[in-house]
Amino acid sequence: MSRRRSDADFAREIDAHLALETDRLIAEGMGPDAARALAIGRFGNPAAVAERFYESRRIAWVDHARQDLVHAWRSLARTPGFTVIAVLTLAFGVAATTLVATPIKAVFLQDVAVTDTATLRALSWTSPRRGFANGLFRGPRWDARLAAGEHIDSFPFAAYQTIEAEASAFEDVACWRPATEALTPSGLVRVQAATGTYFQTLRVTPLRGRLFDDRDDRPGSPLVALAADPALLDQTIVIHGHAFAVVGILPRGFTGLDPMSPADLIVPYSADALFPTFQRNDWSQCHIVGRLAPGGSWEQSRAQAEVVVHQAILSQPPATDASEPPRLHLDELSVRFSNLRRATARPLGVLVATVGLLLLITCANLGGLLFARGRARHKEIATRVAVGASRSRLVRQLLTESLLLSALGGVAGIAGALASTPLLPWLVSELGGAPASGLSLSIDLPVLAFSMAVSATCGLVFGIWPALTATRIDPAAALKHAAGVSPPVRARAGKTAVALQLALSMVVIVGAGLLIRTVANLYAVPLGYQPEGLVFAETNNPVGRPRAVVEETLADLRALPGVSVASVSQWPLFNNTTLRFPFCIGGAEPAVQQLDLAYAFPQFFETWGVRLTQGRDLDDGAAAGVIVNETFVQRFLKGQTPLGTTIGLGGCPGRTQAPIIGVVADHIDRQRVERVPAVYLRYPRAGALYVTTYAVRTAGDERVLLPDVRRVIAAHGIAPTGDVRTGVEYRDSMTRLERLIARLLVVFGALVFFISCLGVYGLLSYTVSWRVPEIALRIAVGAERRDVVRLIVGESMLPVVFGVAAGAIGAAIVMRSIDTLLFGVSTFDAATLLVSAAVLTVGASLASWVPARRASTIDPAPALRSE
Amino acid sequence: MSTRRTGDDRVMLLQGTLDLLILRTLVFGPQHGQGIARAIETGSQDTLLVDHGSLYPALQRLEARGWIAAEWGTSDNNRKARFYTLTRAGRRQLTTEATKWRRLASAIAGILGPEGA
Repeated sequence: MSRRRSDADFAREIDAHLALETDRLIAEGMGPDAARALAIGRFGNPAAVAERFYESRRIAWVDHARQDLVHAWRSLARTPGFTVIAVLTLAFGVAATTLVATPIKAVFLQDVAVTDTATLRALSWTSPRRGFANGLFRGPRWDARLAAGEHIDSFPFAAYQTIEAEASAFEDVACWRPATEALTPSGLVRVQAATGTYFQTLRVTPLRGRLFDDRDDRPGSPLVALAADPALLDQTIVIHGHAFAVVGILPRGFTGLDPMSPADLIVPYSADALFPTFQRNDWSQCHIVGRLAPGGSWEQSRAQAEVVVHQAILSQPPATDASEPPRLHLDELSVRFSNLRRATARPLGVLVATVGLLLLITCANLGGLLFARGRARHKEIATRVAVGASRSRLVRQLLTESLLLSALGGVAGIAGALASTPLLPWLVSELGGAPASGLSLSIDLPVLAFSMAVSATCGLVFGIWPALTATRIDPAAALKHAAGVSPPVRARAGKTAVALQLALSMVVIVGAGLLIRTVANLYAVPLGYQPEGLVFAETNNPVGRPRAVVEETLADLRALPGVSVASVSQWPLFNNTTLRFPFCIGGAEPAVQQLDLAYAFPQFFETWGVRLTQGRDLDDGAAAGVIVNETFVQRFLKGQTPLGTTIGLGGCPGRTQAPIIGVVADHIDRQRVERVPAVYLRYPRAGALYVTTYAVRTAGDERVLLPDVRRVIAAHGIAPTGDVRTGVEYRDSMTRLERLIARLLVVFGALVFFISCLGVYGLLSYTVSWRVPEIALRIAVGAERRDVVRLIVGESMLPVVFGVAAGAIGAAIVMRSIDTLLFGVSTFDAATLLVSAAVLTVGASLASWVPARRASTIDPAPALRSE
Repeated sequence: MSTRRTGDDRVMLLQGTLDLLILRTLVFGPQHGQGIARAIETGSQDTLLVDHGSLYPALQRLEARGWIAAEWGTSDNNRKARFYTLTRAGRRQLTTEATKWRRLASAIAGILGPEGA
């Protein structure tokens, strides 16, 4: 029926018409020429008619949609205030959604940047014992992880070599070492090492230049590196004193196989031996990835590798605890993403919940405004119904308006999100506590489509109800009302929207309040050390002459301008590993033997700003002595004089025995830990010092010392295990998550507060506009302006109070999900609830005062006359 | 639209009424455009003047809505012409529109009162 008809066919029909009409006129007695002229004359301009045919041929609904759109645009342009408020609030919601959807997608949907992963597997093992695994971290936490059957995915290099040589079920096998940080002249870079088989196994191609292979991975071959940053191609990078030529650029988005430890540079595994952190036979040094040979089976390759690994263990003396070989597993490469997911799940969860609330608030806001608008256009709609507009067409028009609004809000929101993309890497690294360069964090098409869909859904869902309500109209009654009688007040829907917004806002604001209090409480906890003025670096020292290096470095650090005192210790002030360490006091071993034990140089406590409460500092003199902390004294020497008491270390009476020469104040680095007894010993004169922490203190701004300290440490060929840090950075890193969530909630709290106030304002403005005659009448019969303000504000207060109360209850329930984040404050904190309620109520009253004030200045005479 | 013979007592069709009249005309059987125009004019004793230029877009519109269907055929005097027929939906539409129109007309007549008022 709605077949497309050609223009030519239409022209033929016009010709036929003219011929028939001419025939008729001739039959009536006209001359042929005159008849033809008259027929054409009566027809008008055939071209114009053809044009109209062209117009009419278009599909009717497209036409209607266009009309609706034009109408909606005009109608929105007529009320710029409403339009701006609605678009702005929606834009906030959409921008937040877009910004949050991007990292969520990156973290939860993204996978390793390797296309052909079907036949790729990462090797891992489980074992109830791990005596064979030299170099793996020890301690109760690791024991628990092994006992729980967690897959451990690191191996010694020897295991890789044997698998590579003997396990025929794998077509290709490669080994890579997680990125370690190295100081280069241009800054800190993360360097990953991988065998020459790595890229062959993964089947990736370089963005530019070439990748490296086995020929580059031989001791003595020229040092090459691959960089993630295209600008580094053909440059030379100096790492730990060795010059690496950047011969290629890694594929886009590829930063290794571990998103938690993304690489800036990848170097051949053989070059890794040049680094001081390298220990070839460690079980922490090699992650193995293999590609299944064509026709091979997973089980076959797994069993093969298992045998080979067992051989590797036995061939590696001392083969302690090798009676029970580990069981081997083949994991999908994406398994490493799950670590990132675990690390970010909580903060991202809070973020998603907050953005969800924000979105709901903006949608409720839009809904409320649309209700009010529909109400205010009562007369217009009634008139259109009266002249025959169908309800479906009217609903369609109103929906077009709300969809246009959501489209505008969506576009504005996406523009805002695009403008804030530089925030994303920061946000993700703060959330996950890991660098974000392993993730692609650009806002892409699917995310944009998602945001627009969210916006459109908001417009549809929260637009349909107001549209249906507004068009449920009896034109006769409505028009009668227009003639002087106010319509019945049916603003319940609008008030519900306001109450909903305020309730949701209350949840966000209470959350912000609780986190602010948490952060304040965290900072109020006395730490027992002075982070201000402190700079420190955790390092690994070169093998061979550690003691000399340590002393030279320390001397150089002391000589730096501005440094008042410097020291070296085994760990930073805190290592937080409470070992079960047998020791002897008063001739007996205490029942509880958890001790923090560390070696330190003299002036360690002075450098870290820890108060010596009794006795004296460690010294370089001949007499041995130890320092304990106050918790140690309270736990083991209650009521005794600690100074001079002898402690035996390593059993009873102990391998080493020394008197207590001093007591220091308790100190902690984070607030949620228990204080543990600690013992500090002087560094043995000739002891291995592979792991050390250098620290300096200055009276001035410690940040200016950072480059100097980096330079001194690099000059001595020392490898920091992380960057050189200030004490303040370190202290703040302990409250990173709490501060981040507090900051997010404050920003979102301010946003939802603002949006809710706009919602109240918008709703009341409309309420006032349709109640003009009623208010005018009240003023005319003698109501004071004050009374009018009180009336309008008072009416808006009911939904506000209801919303705030519901929000308080909601907050108490919702906050339970983050109670482990809170510190020193309960999820149901009366003060926070009261302040939040007060802030919202005051804000809402101010927002309603503006339209109320406008209502009170209505001049009754013209207002009544115009009705 | 071009009107001719101004000054006589013929009136232009009201907006929207042309559709109704086309449907009504087609009740008597298939007809081409010129025939429809002629039928309306003669049916109204030449009171109503059909603007031929508006007729074809109107036909096109009705066809698009599925109220009429069209087919090329031959006229009485052997000319090729496009013939329109009323569809079932068109017949239904005619009934509703006609009822509406009669009510409107009688309402207006009621207000205007007897002729000569």
